[in-house]
Amino acid sequence: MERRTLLGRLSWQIGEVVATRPETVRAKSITLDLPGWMGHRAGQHVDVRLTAEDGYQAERSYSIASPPEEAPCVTLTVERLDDGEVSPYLTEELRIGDKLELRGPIGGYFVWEASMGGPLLLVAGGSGIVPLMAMLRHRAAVGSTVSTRLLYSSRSLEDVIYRDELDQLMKSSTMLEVVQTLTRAQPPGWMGYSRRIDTQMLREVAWPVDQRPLTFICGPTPFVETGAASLVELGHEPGRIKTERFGPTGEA
Amino acid sequence: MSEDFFSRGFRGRRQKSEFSGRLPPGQYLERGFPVLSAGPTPHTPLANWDFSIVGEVDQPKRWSWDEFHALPRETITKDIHCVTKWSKLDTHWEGVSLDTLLAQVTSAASYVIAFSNGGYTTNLPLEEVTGGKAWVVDTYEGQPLEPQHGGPARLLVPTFTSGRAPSGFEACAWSTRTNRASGSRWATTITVTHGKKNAIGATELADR
Repeated sequence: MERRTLLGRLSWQIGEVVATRPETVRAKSITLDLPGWMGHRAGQHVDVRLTAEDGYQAERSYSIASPPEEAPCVTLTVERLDDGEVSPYLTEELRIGDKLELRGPIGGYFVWEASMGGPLLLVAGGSGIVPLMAMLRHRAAVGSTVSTRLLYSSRSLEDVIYRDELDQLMKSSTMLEVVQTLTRAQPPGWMGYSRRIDTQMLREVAWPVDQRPLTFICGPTPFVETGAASLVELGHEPGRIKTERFGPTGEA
Repeated sequence: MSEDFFSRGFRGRRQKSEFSGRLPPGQYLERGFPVLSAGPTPHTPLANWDFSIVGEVDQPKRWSWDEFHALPRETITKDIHCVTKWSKLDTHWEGVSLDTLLAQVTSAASYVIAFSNGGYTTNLPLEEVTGGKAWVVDTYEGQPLEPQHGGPARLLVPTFTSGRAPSGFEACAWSTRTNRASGSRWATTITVTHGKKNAIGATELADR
């Protein structure tokens, strides 16, 4: 049984693009219909493989944005990297009706299910929001009332992924708070934070240490390093802080 | 999956020819240094750091940071290939060969298990880490290895996909017995040091 499950998630399968949706100028959501999908948990990712006509292949990992409840549809949100090889194809070339090869779900550690409880602290930097959005969507889909706070850092308001949906989610659940920081440009009258995350910001936003929050941090490596180190400095248990980093060190 | 599947409109960015022969299929050339870790980065003070070899050995060995630095050192230049598809070419490291470390104990064991300070472990056949194949390194590109890359010291096994070599590890144990019941190579007899946390995500990747 276990063997079959493992082979199932390690096998490449082909999905059909059934919807695409621009989220920001650089980020796009791609929804795939995957008849062979065996289900996933919020926070997991997939490997995507592109194959050129001559057989040349490129493979990258992307977080799943959709909740388990939407299977067998799976949505990825991809941010275009200007010097990327796979993300420009996914965000600019791929369209409805195209086929996309992927395998997964992958990752058993950076996952949250409503049964794991909280309080939940989600800390997102840029497109690091994607796996955390799967958690928020799962939370909403099952009607969870787990107390949840999201601290989300973006460069500007235009770079905020899922902006309207986050507003909706917050309106529909009194147990969810969304706190945003815009690091480069703020619109007139901006009420949120206007700087990169730091210890003081986390002191204000994070749950009190004695509530033992379960924390998920996802973003570029320096962002995650800062966030995780700040929480440890504030006294939070390292064992309850789960991180997912992307990109090399030193990247802005 | 299907032999003739291709991605409509995908051409790909071919690697420059001078490097293409050195990249395994599907890997891309990375000029930065991505971090693979699953929790807050442990910062181990050098005064608290030690490295030990325990398990099925005649006499366990333990080195403090200073003692470790008194061991014969080697410089290593290798290409590394991570399971997350990036490769770095010609990386320069300094450290102590596992040959040097293992020569200081007597054992009939055939596997080593490396324990990192985050609780991550990996099991490797002895033949894969001896004969100039593995090092405990503390220097990367001439600088002390940063904590987020496994500093102050990590295991480097270039022949293995790098996600399997634990960073920040503190102890190394070995065993002749493997867990045949489950069909895995994981040894069953080891109880050694462990520490705070790190690199559990690497376990997931190793499972792939």
